[in-house]
Amino acid sequence: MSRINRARIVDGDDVTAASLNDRFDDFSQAGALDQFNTRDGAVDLPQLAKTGFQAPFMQVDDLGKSDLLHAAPVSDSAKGTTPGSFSVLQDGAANPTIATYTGGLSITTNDVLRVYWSLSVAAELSGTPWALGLQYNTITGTGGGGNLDVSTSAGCFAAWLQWDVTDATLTNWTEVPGQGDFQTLIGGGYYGNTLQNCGATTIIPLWSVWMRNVRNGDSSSGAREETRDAGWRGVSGSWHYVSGFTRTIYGLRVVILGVMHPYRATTGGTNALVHDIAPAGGVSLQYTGGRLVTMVNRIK
Amino acid sequence: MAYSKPNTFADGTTLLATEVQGNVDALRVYLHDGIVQADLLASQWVDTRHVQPPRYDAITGLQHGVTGYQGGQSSGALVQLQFSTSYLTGAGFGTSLAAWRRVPTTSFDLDLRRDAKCLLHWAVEVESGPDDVPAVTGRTPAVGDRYAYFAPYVATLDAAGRNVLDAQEVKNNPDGFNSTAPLGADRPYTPANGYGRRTGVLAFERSAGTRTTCGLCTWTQIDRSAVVNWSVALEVWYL
Repeated sequence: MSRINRARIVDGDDVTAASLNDRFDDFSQAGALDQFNTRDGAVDLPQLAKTGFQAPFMQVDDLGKSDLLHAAPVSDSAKGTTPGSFSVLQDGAANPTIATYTGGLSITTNDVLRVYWSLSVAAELSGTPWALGLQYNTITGTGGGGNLDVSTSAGCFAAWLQWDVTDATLTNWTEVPGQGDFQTLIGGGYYGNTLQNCGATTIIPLWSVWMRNVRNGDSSSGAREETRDAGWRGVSGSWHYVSGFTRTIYGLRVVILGVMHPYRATTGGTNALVHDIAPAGGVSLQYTGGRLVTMVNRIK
Repeated sequence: MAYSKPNTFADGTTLLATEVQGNVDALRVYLHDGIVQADLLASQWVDTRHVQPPRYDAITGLQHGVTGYQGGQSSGALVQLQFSTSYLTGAGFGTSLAAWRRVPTTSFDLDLRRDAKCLLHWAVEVESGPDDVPAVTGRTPAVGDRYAYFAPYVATLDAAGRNVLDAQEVKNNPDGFNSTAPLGADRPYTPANGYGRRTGVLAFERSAGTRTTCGLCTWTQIDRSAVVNWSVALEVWYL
């Protein structure tokens, strides 16, 4: 008998020693308690002894430098050669701020790796970087005032996620799956990523440019360009990953590169984010502190 | 320990009520706290219906069940618009750094039944300023250097419960209001000028049996910022 479902006693049944013994012995069977002996809603927290089953891992690491009032932030210059080399977030004393996992963080096909990060950043500008390279478009004047160059205000730094899945020496950093290294030739001499390879990218705006006193029908007459650099601001990002096989992660880090600008090599082609070196001399990215959260959830 | 009946019955003997009752009493003890792993069917059989369903609290927006807490709150467009103001966070600078204040209605009270891993997801959409009140003693930031900060906290608003590394700032719109029609901010709110949507995640762990509060707090150097939209969501994992 694989379940305890003996029929109840009814009028006319004989009460024998054997029937009485059987009725109690039912409960002595190994492996006999199952769904037929359990009421709905019977399993509550006390019956669930496991810990770290659904959420086996969580870790928080610091990024950058703790400096709430921006007294002495870290500064990273835009790169003037392309394809550009990224910078690893650091604490202001040249120490990289990364996440490491003692003995490696193992994830299986049953897990989802969840990563969240944040950082406080600000643009530091000199000159008119918004008017160089890819950073502007030309509006054709229609009222005799001539053409007008207007910044797209799309100049940005990119921050993205890398990991080391080789060993604990942390010398084999690569982009996480779904993320490119911004060193692919897109076209026109510009290197970057097509958008489908920006799965772990955070965009950091650098400035806003707008026009005042623009006369209706003539984009240039009376125009006055107003500019605001992007002041201190919090930025954040996230990335989720389900591996097709068991793998071990030894480190995670956030890297940055700029100045970037949207680009499309050909009409109808794939949109991309590319490295624009023209404004590099007038742009730095300042940053202070942030957090890097690593969590693993079991999903099946 | 598996169940073993204390009395075995035999043909030709007197059936005593105390012996029957003894077996029943032993069964009662067994069913309450004597079931061991070997008594259960080895293959998976617990279905969703067997698990105690979670309870939903419509006031907090949280459900609590065997896996922990899940849920959240949002501003509901402009229904619960909130403010951050330097009038509540001291002079908004210098020695008032400890004067963080809760953003109203963005906190949760948690009664934890197990050691838990917790994630607080938060988002705010803020219009800061315009504030062009001249800098004065005790309020030293220039109008272009004033910021409204938002940070998640756990339990307390001091350094033990709120880490500045989790704080994210929104810049002031520094140009003030127009003095002639059309009135309003003298310069537009843009992502670089007084406007911002900030999102973050706070991860923390807490022990079973603790009651704790978590949510959003603010500290600002700007006279007035409107938190026009916000949301907080909570994941608490017992298992």
